[in-house]
Amino acid sequence: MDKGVVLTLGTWLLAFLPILVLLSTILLFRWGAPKAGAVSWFTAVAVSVFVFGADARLLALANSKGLSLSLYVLLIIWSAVFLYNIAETIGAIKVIGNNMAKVTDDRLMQCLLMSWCFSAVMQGIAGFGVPIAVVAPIMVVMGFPPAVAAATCLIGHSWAVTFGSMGTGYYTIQLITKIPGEVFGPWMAILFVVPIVTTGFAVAHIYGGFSAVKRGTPAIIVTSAVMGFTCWLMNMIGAAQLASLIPALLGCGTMALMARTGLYRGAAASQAAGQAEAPQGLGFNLAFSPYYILILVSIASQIKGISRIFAPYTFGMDYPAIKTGMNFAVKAEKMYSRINISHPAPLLLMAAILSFLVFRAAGRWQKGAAVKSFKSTFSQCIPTSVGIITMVMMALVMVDSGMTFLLAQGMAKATGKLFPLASPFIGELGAFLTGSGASSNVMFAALQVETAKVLGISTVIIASAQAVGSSIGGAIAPAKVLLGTTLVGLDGGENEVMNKVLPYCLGVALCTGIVAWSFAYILFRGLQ
Amino acid sequence: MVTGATTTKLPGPVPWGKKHRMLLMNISFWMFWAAFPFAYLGGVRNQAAYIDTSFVLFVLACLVPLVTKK
Repeated sequence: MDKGVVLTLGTWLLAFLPILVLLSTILLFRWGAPKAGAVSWFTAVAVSVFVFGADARLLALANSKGLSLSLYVLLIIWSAVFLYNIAETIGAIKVIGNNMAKVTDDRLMQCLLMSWCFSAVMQGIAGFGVPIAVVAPIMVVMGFPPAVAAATCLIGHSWAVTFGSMGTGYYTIQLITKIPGEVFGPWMAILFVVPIVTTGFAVAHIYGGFSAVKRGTPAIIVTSAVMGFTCWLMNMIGAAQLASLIPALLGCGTMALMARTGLYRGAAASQAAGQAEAPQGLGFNLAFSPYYILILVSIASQIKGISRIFAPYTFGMDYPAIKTGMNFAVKAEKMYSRINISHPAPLLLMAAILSFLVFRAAGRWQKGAAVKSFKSTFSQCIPTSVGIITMVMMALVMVDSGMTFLLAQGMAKATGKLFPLASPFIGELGAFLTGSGASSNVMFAALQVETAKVLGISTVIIASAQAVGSSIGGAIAPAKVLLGTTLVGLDGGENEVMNKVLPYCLGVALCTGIVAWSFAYILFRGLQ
Repeated sequence: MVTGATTTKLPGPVPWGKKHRMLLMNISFWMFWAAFPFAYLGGVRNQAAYIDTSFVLFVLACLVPLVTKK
C-alpha cells in the first residue's frame, strides 16, 4: 500500500516547490527551459531526499526512468523536426501554407481551421506532439506570428488528446478505472463538449482578443456542435478510437463551409495575408506528400496484422519495485516507456524516407537536402532536448518519491464536496508533468475514482473529468511547449508561449470542473 | 566632437555563456546520456559506484545550462 509522507500544508507546499520553481523561473524570470529545468531538478532532488525519504538508489532509478521517458519524447521531436526540415528545404511548407490560406481569406477562420480543427485531425491519427510539429510551422508560413501559431496549436488540439492517437488515453483510463467503455465513453464525450467549445474560443481570443471571439462565435458554436455530437456518436456506436479523428475532419469541413457564408466573407479582403514565395511547379499534393505518407503509415501501424509483424521490435526497460524511506511504494515497471511500431518516431522517419523517394521520382529533390536538414535538426533540437531531459527527470523524481501523489491527495482532501472542481486540475497536473494524457491517467485515474467512491459521487463523471484534464494539460507540458517553440523558430521563447497558453488551460479546466460538479451533485446524482 | 558622428552604442563583448551556448548545450546533452547506463544499472543492481558516477554526471550536466545565457 502506498503511504509516504503525511499530508500537511507544509509537506504539500514542499511537494509543490519544484513546480513553483519551474513556473516562476520560466514565467517571471524568463529563463530558457534548460536553465529552469535544471534548477527545478535540483529542487526536486533536494526536497525528495530531505523531506520525502528518497535514497540514492531510488533517485538513480527515477532519473533513469526520466531519461527513458525523455528518449521516448525526444525521438518524436527529432524525427518531426527532421521531416519538417526536409519539407522546408524542398519548399513544400511554403506551398502548403499558401494553399491552406486559399481555403479562406479570413485570418481568424484560417487560425481556427488550422489550430483547432486540422491539428485535431493530426492528433486523431498520430500521437504526441505531431499536430504541433506539423501545423504550427505551416501557420507561420501562412503569416501568423510564431508565438500565436505555437500557442493556438497547443491549446487548439488539446481537446482531441484523449480520443486521439487511436484512443490511447481513452483505453488507458478504461484499464485503470475498470469502468466499461460502453458506460464510460458516451459520458466522457458529453463532458468533452466543454473543452471542444472553450478551446475554440481560446484560439479566437489568442488570435485577436475579444473582437475575434465575438466575430468567431457563430463558427465556433456551429463547429463545436458538429464535433461534440460526432464525438458522442462515435462513442455510442463503440468507435471511441475515432472519436477525435472523425469529429475533427467534420469540423474542418464545417469550418470551411462557415468561411464561405456571408458572415466571414465581408471582412476577408482587408485581412488577407501576403503569400509566401513558393517554388514554381510544386503542386499542393506533392508538397503535402510527406504528411499524406505520415497519415497513411500511421493508419497502417494501427492494423493488427502489421503491428503483429513488428511486435518483436519493441524497446523498453524494466524497473524493479522500490520504497522510499517514508514507505511510499513505487511499483515495478515492465517495458517502461515502450517504443514500438506505433510510436510516432518510426512513422515520422518512414514518412521522411518515403518522401525522399517521392520527391526524387518527381524530380524535386535537391542534392544535399538530407544532410542540410539533419544539420539544422541537430542545432535546433539540442537546447530543446536539454530542457526536456531536465524537466522530465524532475517530474519522475517527484512521481517516484511520492510528491506528486501527495499533491493530488492534498487537492482531493482540501476540496471535499467541491472535489469535481479540482478533478480536471489533477488530470492537468499529470499531463503537465509527463507531457502525456495517457500517463496522467495512469498516475491519477485510480486516485480520482477512489476519492469519488469515498465522497459517494459518480465515478464515471470524475473519471471523465480526469480524462478532460489530462487532455488539456498537455498544452502546457514543457516538452510540448518546447516542441512548438523549436519548430516555429522561437528558441528561448518558451515563456511567451507558456504565458499565452496557461490562463486558457486553467480556464478550460475550471469550466469542466463546474460542469462536472453540477453533473455529480445536481443533474446526474444517481449515475454509477 | 566629430560632425555627423552617431551616438549609437557599440555592441560590447559577447558574454562567454552566450558565445559558447551551443557547445555547452552539446556537452550537457551528451553528459545526460553518458549518465543513463550508470543510473539504470546502478539502480537495478543496487551498485553504489554506478549510482555515484551517475549523480556526478547528472549534477555536472545540470550545472552546465546554468552558466549559459538565456
